[in-house]
Amino acid sequence: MKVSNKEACATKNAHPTIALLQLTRLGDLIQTVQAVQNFRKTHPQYRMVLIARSQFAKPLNFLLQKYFDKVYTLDTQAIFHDQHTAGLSKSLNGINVFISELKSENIDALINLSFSKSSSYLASLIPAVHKIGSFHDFNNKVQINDKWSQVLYSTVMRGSLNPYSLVELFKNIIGITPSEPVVSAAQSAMPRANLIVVHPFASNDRKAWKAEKWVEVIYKTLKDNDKCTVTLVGAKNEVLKSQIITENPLLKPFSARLINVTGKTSIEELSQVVANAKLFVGHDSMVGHLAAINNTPTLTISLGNVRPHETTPFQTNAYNLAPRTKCFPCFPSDPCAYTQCHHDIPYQLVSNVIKQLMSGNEIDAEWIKSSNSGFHLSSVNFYRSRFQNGMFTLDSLIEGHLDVADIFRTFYKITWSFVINNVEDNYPIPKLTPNSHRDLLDALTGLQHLFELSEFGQKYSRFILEEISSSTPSIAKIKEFSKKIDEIDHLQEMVQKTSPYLAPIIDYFKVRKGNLFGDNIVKLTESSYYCFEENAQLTSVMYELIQNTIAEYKIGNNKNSRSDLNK
Amino acid sequence: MNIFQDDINNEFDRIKKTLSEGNPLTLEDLKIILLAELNEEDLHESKQ
Repeated sequence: MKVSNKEACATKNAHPTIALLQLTRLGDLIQTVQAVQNFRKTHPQYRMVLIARSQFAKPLNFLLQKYFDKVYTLDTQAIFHDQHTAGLSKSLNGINVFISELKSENIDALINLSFSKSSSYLASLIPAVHKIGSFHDFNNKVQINDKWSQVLYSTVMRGSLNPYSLVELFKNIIGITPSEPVVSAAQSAMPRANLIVVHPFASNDRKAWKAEKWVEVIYKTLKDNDKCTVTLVGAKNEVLKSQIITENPLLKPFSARLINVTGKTSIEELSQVVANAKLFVGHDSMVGHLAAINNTPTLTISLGNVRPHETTPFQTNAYNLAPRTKCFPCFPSDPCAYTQCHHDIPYQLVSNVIKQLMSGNEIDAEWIKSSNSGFHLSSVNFYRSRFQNGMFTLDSLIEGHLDVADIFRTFYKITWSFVINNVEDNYPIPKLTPNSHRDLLDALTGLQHLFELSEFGQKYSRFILEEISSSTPSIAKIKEFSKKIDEIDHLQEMVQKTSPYLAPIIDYFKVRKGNLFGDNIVKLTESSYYCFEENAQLTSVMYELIQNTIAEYKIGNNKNSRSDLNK
Repeated sequence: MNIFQDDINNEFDRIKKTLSEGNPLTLEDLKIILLAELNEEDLHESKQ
């Protein structure tokens, strides 16, 4: 059973209304804006509205009003006001008022981009002709019917193998063609002060360095760049933390060039500060996205549960330093006593990179190798963003080092684009090391199993359909075939244990299987058949990519051994 | 005393019973679950 959309207005609007539902935090809202930035220009015939939480949308109103015809804000403070004494009925009334406001909008397409439980329940209550993204049905089951939302649901926050930036995933879900953000002439001509904006905080402690490390970075930066100013920015609840930095004796001689505006600016004012700067440096937080929207170069230090490929500010030349720590990126619930990843990014490297960027020079593999100690480089990954055919890409800047996860992310990017969007992406064949070669060989074995299981799945789905269409269908046989399909689903999960790099394919399959189309056994079985068919396609593409990469590696090895023999 | 939480707990018992009996939820039930989720998210947010 699905949520009924009968209440929605089915008549065609002259200006069809698209409503984006984004209930999560400030950073996600800015990334939602980035996803739709060009859409207004290219599709003026649509009315675009946003549904967001009051506490996040109101501070960003200066930005949201440029890109949305209307912003509906869910004010939970008002809804839950007096809840202790007024009880549930008052809050229910608040929700009813909010939903009836949305009802009058006659939404044609409701797109849920937030993937929280609350947004999924809210999506089920908002009347709309079409629903994209997750919503709950009347059996309290999550429904996700579009493929890109299924990719998001099965990869984001499930590990480190999602190759897409959140902005790009949002674009894919909405159906916006990938494109580079457009920088206006006024924006690029705008003079910038000799200013570095530093936001040394994050939403949780594991994502941010302790104050001492930032003191070292700021000290070295002010010492090395005698004409620049550092401005510390942050929210009201970060004032104390900012004072620990600014009041450190090491920074006292530089107090004239160290300005602390933490807790003193609105987000609109903060946006102006960032827009005026030559560089933004900080951890993964809303401020980095604000910098990207203002075309300010960024250097992000990714720690803890941050996934650089998902959250690096969406712009060209966004730099990201991430640790090579084994457990990075972790999950917020993982226990962590020592925060090894915090120690694996040396502050000296950060200061060096800042100096290079402030002098207006390019950072490339050559500079990294020649100007930094090998010791400082041995525990980090260093990425720079660029756009390839409109697609956001993070290139590794450390020569000769490519994580296995990096290799798989590239493969996944090619595979998802090909299977879902029917687009062929071209990336150079990655260079393997003996270790990554071994991991790829393991994955080949896993892919072989997955492909065989998908073939069996198609076969048994077909058997069910044939049995149903026979003149005397046997319920016992149908049950027997269904049982086989259940076994196949279970075996796919077993493959995940032996081939962890295949988790995105297996997770995606699970989400697809959990959202089969149809309200009778024939339609559901057909849907199951297509699901196995798609899985076979995904595994085939991935298999071919890995095979080609391994073949190239072997050719390279043979050449090397021949030239060794010639020596 | 938190009347809202008491109300939610009572409603959740009823909703669980509805689902365990294999009956579908109503729009009102979904609104109650939504309020419980929003309330929980707000509490989590205030701790950050």
